[in-house]
Amino acid sequence: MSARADAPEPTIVRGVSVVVGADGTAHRVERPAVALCACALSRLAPWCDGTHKALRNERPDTVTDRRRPDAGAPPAPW
Amino acid sequence: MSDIVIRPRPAPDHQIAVPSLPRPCGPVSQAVVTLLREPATATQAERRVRAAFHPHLDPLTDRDFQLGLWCLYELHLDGFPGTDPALEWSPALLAARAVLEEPFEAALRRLVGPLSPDDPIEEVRRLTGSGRPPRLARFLGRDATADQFRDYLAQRAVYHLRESDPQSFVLPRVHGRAKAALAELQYDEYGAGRPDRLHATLYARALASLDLPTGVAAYVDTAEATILTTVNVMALFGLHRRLRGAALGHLAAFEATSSIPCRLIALGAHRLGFPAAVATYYEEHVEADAVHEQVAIHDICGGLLESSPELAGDVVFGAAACLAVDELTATALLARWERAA
Ligand code: FES
Ligand SMILES: [Fe+2]
Ligand SMILES: [Fe+2]
Repeated sequence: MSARADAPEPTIVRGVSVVVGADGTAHRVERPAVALCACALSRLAPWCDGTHKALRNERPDTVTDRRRPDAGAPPAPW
Repeated sequence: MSDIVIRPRPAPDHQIAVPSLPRPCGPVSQAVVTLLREPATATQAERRVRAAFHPHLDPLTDRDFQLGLWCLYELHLDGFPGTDPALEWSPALLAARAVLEEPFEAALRRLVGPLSPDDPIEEVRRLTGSGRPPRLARFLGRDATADQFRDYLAQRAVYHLRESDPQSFVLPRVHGRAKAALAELQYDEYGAGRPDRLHATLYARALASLDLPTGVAAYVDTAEATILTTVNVMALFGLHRRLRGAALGHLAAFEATSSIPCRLIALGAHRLGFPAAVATYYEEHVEADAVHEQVAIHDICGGLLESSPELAGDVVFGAAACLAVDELTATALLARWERAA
């Protein structure tokens, strides 16, 4: 189960006090660094919750499908 | 002036009988506890602990061995009430510690087996890359009874009530990028400036919400061998400058295998209708450890290896040791609950 090179990783951001989510909601930053979800699957968006790792367990073709906005519900890794 | 009188809540029974020293459970821990009570020379201490240790025992799963070692490491943390604080640097107790640390480290290296340190960062990512939650977290999330879940919280208390402390020993031993990133991660573990958000305090609050004690001493005598192993591994790596690479590899693996399990454990706490403080601890770790994973792998380990590439093997060793000991603990806890069922 090696990490796939194209599996998305969150972006680490420092030195900001507010992050505005895709829906326009402002989220206060309460820690020295935050991880912004880059896979669109987090249940804690805009923060990463580790769900992106589930993509690494899947075959490449399904990974592409899952990441399209019209691909339906995110896969549950548990 | 107000007439309100605040009476302290009577302590539950299990808080009354906490001894100031752990209860020995075999010859090694007995020898160590005796050394904590009565002065000895380094030679006497070494001879006694060596005589108590049977080389055919597996140090990683032998409770007596791990308890003896735990007592010796405790001298560097909170110490024991009623014992001389100078024991921390007593040649006798340092000699005793060295006798146990040698087979302990050797057993860890045997457990993880041969490693590939050619691309250490990629190797740590590979070792921690699974999105599948481990069986212990799955069990807690879906199946554990309230008693089993409480037992899990009590077992893990010897670590979480001291959360992140072993890694603080590493700070003065690393520099530049690694130091800045480790300080940042520790600052977050320590509440980011808010004492009520200290992760150890969040855990204490979870325990208190279930009327469980909030001091480490109350949990040592009932802690499984491998639970003590998990904290002793961190102390071994944290207290030896020589093993700083292993300490940081261990930290990276620990953080990188936390978010997904913590989410499941939080769901278990909700499923069982536990007070909010229990799920809060785990939910904080879903979010925090998704950050800590990246910081620990890329900035802490990456920064360390930039300036000290010779530590590549140690970083991978520390990460592999974390994961392998975690497996031992999962096996032990699931077997413990099976036995009790
Ligand atoms: S990047 Fe981690 S959950 Fe999306
Ligand atoms: Fe934490
Ligand atoms: Fe963490």
